[in-house]
Amino acid sequence: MGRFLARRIIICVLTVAGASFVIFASLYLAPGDPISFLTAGRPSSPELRAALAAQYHLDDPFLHRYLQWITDAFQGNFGESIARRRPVLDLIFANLPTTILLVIMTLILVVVVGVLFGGIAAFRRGPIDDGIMAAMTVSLATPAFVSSIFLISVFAVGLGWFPVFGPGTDIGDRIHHLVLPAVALTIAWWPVIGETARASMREEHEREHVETARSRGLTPQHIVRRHVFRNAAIPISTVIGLSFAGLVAGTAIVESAFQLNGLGSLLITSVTGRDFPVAQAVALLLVTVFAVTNVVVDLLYAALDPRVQTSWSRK
Amino acid sequence: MSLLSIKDLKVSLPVDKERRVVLRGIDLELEAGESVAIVGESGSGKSMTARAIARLLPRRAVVSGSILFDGRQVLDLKDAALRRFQAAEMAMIFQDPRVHLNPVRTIGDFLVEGLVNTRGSSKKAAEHKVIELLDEVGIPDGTRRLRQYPHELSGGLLQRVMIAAALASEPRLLLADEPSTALDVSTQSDVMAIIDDLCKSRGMALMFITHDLELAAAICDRTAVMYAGQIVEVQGSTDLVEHPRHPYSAGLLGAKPNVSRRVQRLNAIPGRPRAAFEVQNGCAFSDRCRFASEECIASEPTLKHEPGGAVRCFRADDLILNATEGAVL
Ligand SMILES: Nc1ncnc2c1ncn2[C@@H]1O[C@H](COP(=O)(O)OP(=O)(O)OP(=O)(O)O)[C@@H](O)[C@H]1O
Ligand SMILES: [Mg+2]
Repeated sequence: MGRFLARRIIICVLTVAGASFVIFASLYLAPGDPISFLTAGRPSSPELRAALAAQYHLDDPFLHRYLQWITDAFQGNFGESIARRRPVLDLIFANLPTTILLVIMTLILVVVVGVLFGGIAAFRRGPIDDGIMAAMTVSLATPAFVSSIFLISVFAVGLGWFPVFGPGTDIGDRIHHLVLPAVALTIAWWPVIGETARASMREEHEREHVETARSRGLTPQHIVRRHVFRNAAIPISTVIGLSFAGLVAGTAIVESAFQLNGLGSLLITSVTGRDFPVAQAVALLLVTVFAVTNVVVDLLYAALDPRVQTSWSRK
Repeated sequence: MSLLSIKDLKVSLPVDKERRVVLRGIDLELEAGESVAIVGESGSGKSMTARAIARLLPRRAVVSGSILFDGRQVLDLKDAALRRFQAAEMAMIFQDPRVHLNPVRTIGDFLVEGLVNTRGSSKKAAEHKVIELLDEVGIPDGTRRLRQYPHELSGGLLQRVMIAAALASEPRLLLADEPSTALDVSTQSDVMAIIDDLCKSRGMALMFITHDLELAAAICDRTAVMYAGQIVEVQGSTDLVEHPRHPYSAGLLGAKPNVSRRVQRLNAIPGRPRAAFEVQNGCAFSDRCRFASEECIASEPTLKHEPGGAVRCFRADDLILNATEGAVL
């Protein structure tokens, strides 16, 4: 078990290291010249250009710059934003709370809605199942920005129940501001959990061990809770882990649509604005989150399935 | 009054929009504490019979006839009454314990589950009881086993756990559907011996489903032979093995390779077994029977009761069947 975990963590670190190189290289190789951005397109003297290049180490050899960047990043120093003249880390910290809150709210909504409706569909064959399946298909096919616009026009502009834009101030206000963005993301992601919940609960319900439980006169509620749902929780939690990564990436679109100052919108503005220190730092942070999620999913899997624990301790 | 009395039990199941008959009228009596074996080729409806008694038939199965347990109509039981019957009066042991136990819950969870949830025992009392039961089925270190998961135990041990779980509710009827078939040869006889002993010592009635007529005879008082969704013969087990009355029973005995006898008999029954839904008019076995007459092909024999048993064959009285030779006229 310990060795398996160690191996998973090493893989995780290697993934982040590899990804960091790709992130750094892709921005370096991307078309467009950061110096023109820095000078805002105005004619500039060669001296100014040289000074800027020196400040951002633009003339050093590529590998040298990469190593410099990654060592600094390790020490929490991601440099300074070109566009905003502020330390990148400050920007990230300023934008982090919105994204974290949005992801947590969405995750709760996605899991509750997905498991609830997936579970209902699994056990209520016929029109209810068909209706939920149709809703999942439509939901899955609706892009998050489309549902964002829909939610804004109906619930924010039309009914005025929720604020239209912005992140809010204190915690209650923030949550209020984030309801519609979370719903927009949930519309895109609940079918993923819902479909897995439906399929796995149905499959578990047909299992022989459930037949044993029925032959013992246990109540349907007990069987669903302790056998069907307990066992289906294994595939469901794996899919939750996998969709978590997609969800975090998906915040970018929703944050832009609702003009929230989150990490996703920070990534988008920094990429389009060629603010490469910011773009690199945010991308690296997201990759790290994905890699750590994978390890957490593995741990969760082992916690839920005793057969995995045994095979781990044998390895 | 018998403990279990099955009359004209018919079951059909949906298969691709059609209804498929799987049981065509089962008649069987079982006294309290008595043991009966159900023998027959694959697909003859043995498991379906046991499932009908335990009310575990697939969804949308259509059932008719009567199953009386201690005078109560099992087929009419609903909800709480049905669960009380399942929890207290009967228990079922299945062929493959590996898939019939929840792989992610401990042996302890499984064993105490019934007592705690259907009997209202405390967890502690239930654990105490199942540890004793484990000891009775030949698992001495019960306390440790309760914390283990199914994948940590061998098939033979798991089947003993299933037996202990079945005993925990002190049922009056044990349904054992090929309980040793999926196990290693070395543990098969142990498991059968445990079931046999415990049923006898506790006065529990046993319905034992098997393919093996001689094992059936070793364990059970009576043996019923099934073919195509019907019982074709019932007799005392030793009588059946020595003097089968139905050509199919004789064929089964002949078809069973027996190493202990010097002459290797290979007169297996010709043709393939009929499924219940394929049967038209006439005796279901007539197309494979060496003794089929015009009557056998034209109309269907009924199960005729006779002293010591019952047989479903027009020609039963004309034939003297011999297990060793297959059959002689
Ligand atoms: N879920 C089902 N739907 C439709 N037909 C079924 C179903 N389960 C079983 N059958 C059919 O019912 C008939 C009786 O099956 P059953 O399981 O009782 O046979 P069995 O005598 O127990 O055979 P085996 O010795 O292989 O266990 C078979 O023809 C089988 O194909
Ligand atoms: Mg069977």
